[in-house]
Amino acid sequence: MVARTASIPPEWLAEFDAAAKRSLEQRWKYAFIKTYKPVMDDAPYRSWDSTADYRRWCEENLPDWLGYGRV
Amino acid sequence: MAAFEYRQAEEIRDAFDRHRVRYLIGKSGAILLGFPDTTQDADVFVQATPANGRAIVTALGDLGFRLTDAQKAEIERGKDFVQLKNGPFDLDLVFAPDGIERFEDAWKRHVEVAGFMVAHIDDIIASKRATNREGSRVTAAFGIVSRILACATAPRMIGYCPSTYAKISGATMVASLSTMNFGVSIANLPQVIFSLGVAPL
Repeated sequence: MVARTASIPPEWLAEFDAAAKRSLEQRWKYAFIKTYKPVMDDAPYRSWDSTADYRRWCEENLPDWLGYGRV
Repeated sequence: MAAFEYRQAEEIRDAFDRHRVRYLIGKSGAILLGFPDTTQDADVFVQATPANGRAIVTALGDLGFRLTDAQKAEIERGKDFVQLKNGPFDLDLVFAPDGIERFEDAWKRHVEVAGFMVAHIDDIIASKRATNREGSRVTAAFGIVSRILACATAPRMIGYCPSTYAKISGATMVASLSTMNFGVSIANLPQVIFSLGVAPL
C-alpha cells in the first residue's frame, strides 16, 4: 500500500497502488507504446555532436505537437 | 515497428553484460523503479570512453543492429546523442544527457533492478527537468508525490528511497494535470498523452 497524504489525489494513489501489484514484465508492457512519429521515425540512424544540437534539431524539424520542443 | 518489449530489454541487458558495456537506463529506468509511466523511447546513458564505445558497437551487432563503418566509428567516438532505428527496436544512445555531469557520478548512485543498471531516480528527474520540456514541468509537479510513493512501489529495491523527488504518473493522470495547469483543451488530450509519452529526452 502506498503512503497516504491529504495532498495527493486519490486517483494517483490508486494508479501507483495498481502498478505496485503488477510484475515488472507487466509494467513494462503497459509502459511502452508505439506510434509513428513523423520525421523522427523517417531515418534509420541519426547522431548529433552535442545534446544541445539534438534539441535544436528537434525544435527545428519536428512538429510541435510531438512534444520535443522546450517550453 | 512494434512497441519495445520486456524481452528486448532483457536482450539489451544480457548483450551489454556480455560485452561489459557501462550503461545506465534513463527514463525507462523510472518504469523499472515502479512508476506507472508511458513512453515510446528506450534510451540508455552510456559511458563515453573508446573502450565502452567499442563494447557498445559489438553488443549492438549481437542484437541485430545494422551499422555502417562510419556509424560504428561515431559510436566508438562517443557522439553525444545517437538515435538508432536500424535494428530490431528503436534505441537512443545518450553519451551526454542533460542534467547529469559525469557518468561516473551517476554510476555511483545507480540501482540494479532485475539485472538492469538503472540511473538513480534523482538523476532521472534531474535530467528530465534539465530538458525544460512540458513533460519535465509535469515531472516537477509530481515530485513530492513520487518521493512518497517510491519506497512502497519498488519492492525490489529494499532500502532504497529517493532523497529528493521523482515522477511519475500514468498518461491519464498527466493529461488531467495538463488540462488543469497548462491550458490544454479536452479535445487535445490525445495529443497531450502522446507528446508526453514520446519525449523522454
